[in-house]
Amino acid sequence: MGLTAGVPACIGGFRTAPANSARPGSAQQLRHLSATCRFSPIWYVSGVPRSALAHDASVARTIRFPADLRDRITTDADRCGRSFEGQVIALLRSHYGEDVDIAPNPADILAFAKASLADIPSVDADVIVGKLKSVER
Amino acid sequence: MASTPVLLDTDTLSELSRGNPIVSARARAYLIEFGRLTVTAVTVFERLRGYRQAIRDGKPYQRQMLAFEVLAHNCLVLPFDDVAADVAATIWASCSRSQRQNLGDILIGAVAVARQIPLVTRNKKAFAMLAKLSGVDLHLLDWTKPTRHLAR
Repeated sequence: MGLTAGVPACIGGFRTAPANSARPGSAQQLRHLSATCRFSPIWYVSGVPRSALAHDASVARTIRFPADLRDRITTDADRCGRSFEGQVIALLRSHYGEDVDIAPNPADILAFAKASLADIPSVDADVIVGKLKSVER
Repeated sequence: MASTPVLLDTDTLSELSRGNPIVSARARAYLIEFGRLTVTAVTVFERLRGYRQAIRDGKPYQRQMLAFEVLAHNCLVLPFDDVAADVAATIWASCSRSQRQNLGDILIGAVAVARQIPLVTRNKKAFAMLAKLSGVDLHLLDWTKPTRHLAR
């Protein structure tokens, strides 16, 4: 599957360099990634010399995804109204500190909703969720 | 499922927070389709003032308020802007003195009208009356009523 991305990355169980500790795509960052990946990479770069990555932040490259990961990204992309590539780039931007709109898991949203009134007696909950009323002048 | 985004009234969000199974099922299906719930800044204000007042009165609800803040952060929160203010003034001027007391309903209904987005509320009757009196175009839905699809 083809993908144009600015930064090679590992996600899911990999430690990466702290933001801004190395220029994205720099040889320093690539060495760091290589040294800290504890498992076989989920994403990998092929066919692009590292020297090219260090100088060109928008080079096209091929990234291969396991089928189940690809399906999960596709589902999220559909939910967020993005293309597959757009969703991957949004995830990378979010990971590297940019404010990107990534739709959270529906179960998490529902859990937060329930937690917002959990363990509150109904008499107090009724007050907390009370609607705005005004007194006529 | 829903083909357009909808706006949740405060009471529908409250039903979700209380764990209403029908509302939760509708919300889950909506989230799968649209990714985020949509509420107004008025609803966020209504809930936050409730927590803040309770905490000020010595109630230990900081954890629940934090959960709500995270929930709101993950929602699309529509502001009460100048267009909504204009609509709200129209609705308010059309209402009786007793109806004007429901200021939250007027403000939230005005945002829905200004954004031309259906409003999901448990209190369709009151909102329908506001719309009828003022002549605004307000489309209403109720998630507390089970649908055939979700009732299975």
